[in-house]
Amino acid sequence: MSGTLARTGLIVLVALLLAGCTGTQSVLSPGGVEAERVHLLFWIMTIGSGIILALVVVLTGLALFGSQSLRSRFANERFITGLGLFFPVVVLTVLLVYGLFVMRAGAQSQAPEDGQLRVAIEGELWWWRVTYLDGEGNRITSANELHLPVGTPVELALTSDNVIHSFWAPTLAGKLDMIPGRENTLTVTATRAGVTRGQCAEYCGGAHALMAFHVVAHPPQEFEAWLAHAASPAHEPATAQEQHGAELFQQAGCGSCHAVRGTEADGVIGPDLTHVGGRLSLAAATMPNNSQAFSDWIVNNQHIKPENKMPAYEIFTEEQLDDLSIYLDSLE
Amino acid sequence: MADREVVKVRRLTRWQRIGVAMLILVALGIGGGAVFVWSGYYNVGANRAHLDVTTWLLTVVRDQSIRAHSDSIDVPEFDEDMVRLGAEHYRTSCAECHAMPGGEINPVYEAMLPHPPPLLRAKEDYNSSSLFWIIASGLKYTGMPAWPAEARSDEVWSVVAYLDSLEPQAEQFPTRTFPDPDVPARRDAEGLTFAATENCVRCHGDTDTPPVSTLVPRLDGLGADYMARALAEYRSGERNSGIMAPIAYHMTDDEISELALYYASLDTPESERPLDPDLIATGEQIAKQGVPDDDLPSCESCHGAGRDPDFPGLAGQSARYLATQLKLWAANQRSGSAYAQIMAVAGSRLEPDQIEAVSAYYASLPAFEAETQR
Repeated sequence: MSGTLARTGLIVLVALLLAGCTGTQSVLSPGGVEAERVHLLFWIMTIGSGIILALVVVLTGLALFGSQSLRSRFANERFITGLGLFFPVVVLTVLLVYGLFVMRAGAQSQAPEDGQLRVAIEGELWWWRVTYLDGEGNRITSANELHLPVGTPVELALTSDNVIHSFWAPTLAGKLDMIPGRENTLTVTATRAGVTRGQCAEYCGGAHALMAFHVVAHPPQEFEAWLAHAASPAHEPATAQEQHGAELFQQAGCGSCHAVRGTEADGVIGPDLTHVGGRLSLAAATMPNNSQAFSDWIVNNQHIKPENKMPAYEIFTEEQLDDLSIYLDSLE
Repeated sequence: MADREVVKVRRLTRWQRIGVAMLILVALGIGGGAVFVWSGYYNVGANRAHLDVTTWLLTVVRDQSIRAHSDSIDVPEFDEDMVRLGAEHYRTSCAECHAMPGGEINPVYEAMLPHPPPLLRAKEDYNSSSLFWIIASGLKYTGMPAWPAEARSDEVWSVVAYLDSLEPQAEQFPTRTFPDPDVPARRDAEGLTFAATENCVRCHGDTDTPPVSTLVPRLDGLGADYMARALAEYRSGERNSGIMAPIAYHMTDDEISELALYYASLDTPESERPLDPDLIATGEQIAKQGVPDDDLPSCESCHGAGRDPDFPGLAGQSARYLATQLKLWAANQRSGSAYAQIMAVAGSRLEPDQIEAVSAYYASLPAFEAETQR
């Protein structure tokens, strides 16, 4: 009985552990060319080192408990030279060469072709400013979400003007630091459509753990449509509530930090809100995106993400807060 | 050997005897003190002076404490604007007990012990640092209260400047004559029932007179909603001011809204405007664009046209008043209310030279036109 229980427990445990390896933010379910290489390397290393470990354990056991003739054979000088020197040298050399190949060591970084999409990602405290630079010289600013076309290499220009962050979208590629005063570039190619998640992987201050983002890989045509929508001006207030919310947004000075293209709001200090209602999350992938979350953030942002640069707005009546949130939610 | 120990007589040494005597004296002292306290013999009535020795002791303790605590306080330079603001605050809050300089003290307060001293010659008894410390901290056991807004040392200095300006020979009160015969008439004309208006006009001016000092804001152009909010915050203590708190304390909500509407309908005469064009240009840039690289939002997005009526207009305000307030924001001394929390974020990002520039810019603008009567 207890044996069955233990076995069931073990199965559950293994299942839980494996569940951690799938999902939206895992190195083990790659969705990009670079991540697939990392994934392959991971399995080569894991399986290879597992085999070698098993070999060492078996040989150690035989050396301790094996027959006298076997043990004298292990004492043979050729055996020691073979497994102790020759084998590690060969394995490590192969791994080194393979590693250099995976890292593309020595390869000239390709200058982006004309007309190719580039994405500038700036690490802020504590969110991501994402600017799409299309082939025609347009700059389309968004935040906390990276949209990519499947199958096309996209160059990401990673910068920071405050502290060191690290851009890590495990399904796309490995980590790359964002260092003040320097532009690091990372070329990624999404291989399958879908939504995955990434986050800052270098401690960058109090709310570091709340600095995440979503990666949305679209089929190419869908991506073009998305980019065209992202470049368009904001949704015009349609209902009385949205209209009232838009007025409050303007009167309360929100536009000094936030831009809503197509309105007077042109601030650049905080995230661009032109299409904020259409994003998958609020506050850098820390909150769901709905009007209730907008209300919570406006009033309680210093509790949700302490020391972020936005003041808490406790000046609105409940009705005003509702209308403002409904307006923001309508900016899809 | 053992026998000798049994018969040994312990004799106290001389020091031990002195010790015992001391213990007895201390015990008698404590007992006597207890009897003195419990008997109620000492008369605490203010109509009976202290014993001479008590008066002497209290005076020495007081003056030594004042000297020790004020020793390291640096005195700013005094000017006419500080003197005029200090004079008007003196009239509002100090004169009640201390009388106007050269005047007679109200017999009720004269009956306090210690008597509130006349202050015409205060600067001869205490230097400016000491006067500042006394006004800011108050004095225990004397009836002298501490300044009700701890962060507002700037206000305290204006009272010190006023005391410093008093000339005992001249015996004149350096402020505008009051009551102004026009004020009650206009108050009736506006249908105001509220007597405190004259108290406001005295410092903040009206259509005929500019504010009494550049340290005092003009109230037209701020907007009625903002003014009502400011007075309510002074009254509740959310906004710090030892000058405005005692005035707002006396005002009801109705009086506040009546007064706010009255001032919103005024056009106060222009006071002098700053002239440095470079400073004004720098200020204009910050006011309109902010400094995005320093995360400093523009002033105009909240204080410009189309603003929330609870946000103040700044145009035409005195540069000195604006700079004083911005320094309070920068030092995180004005974050009491929900509104103040918003400005506190922008204010904390302002550098001293940016404060001077934006203050000059707003002071250089013509004031907003009076709101039409609602």
